[in-house]
Amino acid sequence: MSIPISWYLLVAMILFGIGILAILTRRNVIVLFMGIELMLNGCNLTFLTFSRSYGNSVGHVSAFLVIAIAAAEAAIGLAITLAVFRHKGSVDVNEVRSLRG
Amino acid sequence: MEKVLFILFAGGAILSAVAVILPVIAPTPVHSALALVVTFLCLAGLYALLAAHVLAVLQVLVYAGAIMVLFLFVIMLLNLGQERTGPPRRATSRVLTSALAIALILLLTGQIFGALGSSVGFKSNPAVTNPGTGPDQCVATCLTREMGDHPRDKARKACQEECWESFGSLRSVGRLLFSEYLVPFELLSILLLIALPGALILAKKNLELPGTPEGQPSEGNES
Repeated sequence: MSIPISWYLLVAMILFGIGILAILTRRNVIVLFMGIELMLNGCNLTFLTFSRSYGNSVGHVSAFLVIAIAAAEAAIGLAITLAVFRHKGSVDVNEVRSLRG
Repeated sequence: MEKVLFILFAGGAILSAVAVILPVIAPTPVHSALALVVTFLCLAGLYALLAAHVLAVLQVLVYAGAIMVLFLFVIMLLNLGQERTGPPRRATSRVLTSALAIALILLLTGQIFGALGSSVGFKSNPAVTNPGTGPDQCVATCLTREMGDHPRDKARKACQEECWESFGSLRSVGRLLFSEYLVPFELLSILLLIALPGALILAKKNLELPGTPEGQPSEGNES
C-alpha cells in the first residue's frame, strides 16, 4: 500500500544525477545554475524521505535551511553572471578563463 | 491513489528535469527555466506525499516563485534568446562526460541500496502496531507521560496518533526550528542579510573590476 522509501531515494538520486549531467555537459552558466538547483532539490528529497522514514522532524529543518541557502546562492550567482556577462559579453563558462594559470 | 500520485509526480519531475538539460528539448535557457518550474512543482507534490506540508508550500513559494522569477529575470535581462555559447563541443567529450555522470549515479545507487537493503519501509503510524518505535520527541513524550497500564494505553495511542498527524506541520517544524536549531536559523538570517547587498553590489552597472577598460559600454541593456 505505502510506497517504499527506496523509490523516493531513487527519484532523488536521478534528480541529483541529472544535475551533475547538466554541470558536466552544458556550458551556459545559467543552465549550470539550474543543474545546481536540481542537485539541491534531490538532496532535499532525500532529507524529507529519511525524515518521514524515521519519524523525525529534523530533516524538515535541514530542508528548510537548504532552501534558504539555495535562494541566497541563486541571488549571488546570478549577480555574478550579470557582472561576467557585462565584462565578457558571453555566458559560456569556457570564455571565463582569467584565473586559469 | 498514493501510488498513482507518486508515479505522476516522480515521472513529471524526472521528465521535466531531463528536459531542462537536453538542448534538443530546451534549445534556449527560457525553455530550460520553464521546464525547471514544472520540476519544482512536481517535487512539491512529492514533498506533500511525504507529509512535509510546510516544505511543499515553501517549495512552491520560494523555488517555483522567487528563485525562478530571478532566473527568468536574468535570462531576459541578458537577452539570451539563443544561446551565446561557442561551437558545440566534440562528440567524444560529450559522451565521456555523460558516461562519467551515469557511472556516478550508479555508484550512488549501489552504495545507498547496499547500505539500506531494498526492504526498508516507512513507519506508517507505528502507534498502532509498535509503540516503542519512532525517535520523534513528541512520540517519546507520549511514552514517558503515560507509563500506563491497560486503560491508559488508549490515551497513549491517541497521543501518538496526534503526533503523527502533526508530523511535518508548521507547528512541529517551527517549534524545532526556534528551539533546538535557533543558532543555524539566526546564522541563516545573517547570511541572507549579507547576500542582499552583495548581490546588489555585484550586479551594479559600473562595477570596477580590476582590468576593466575605462568607459567600456555595458552590454546588458535593460529593455
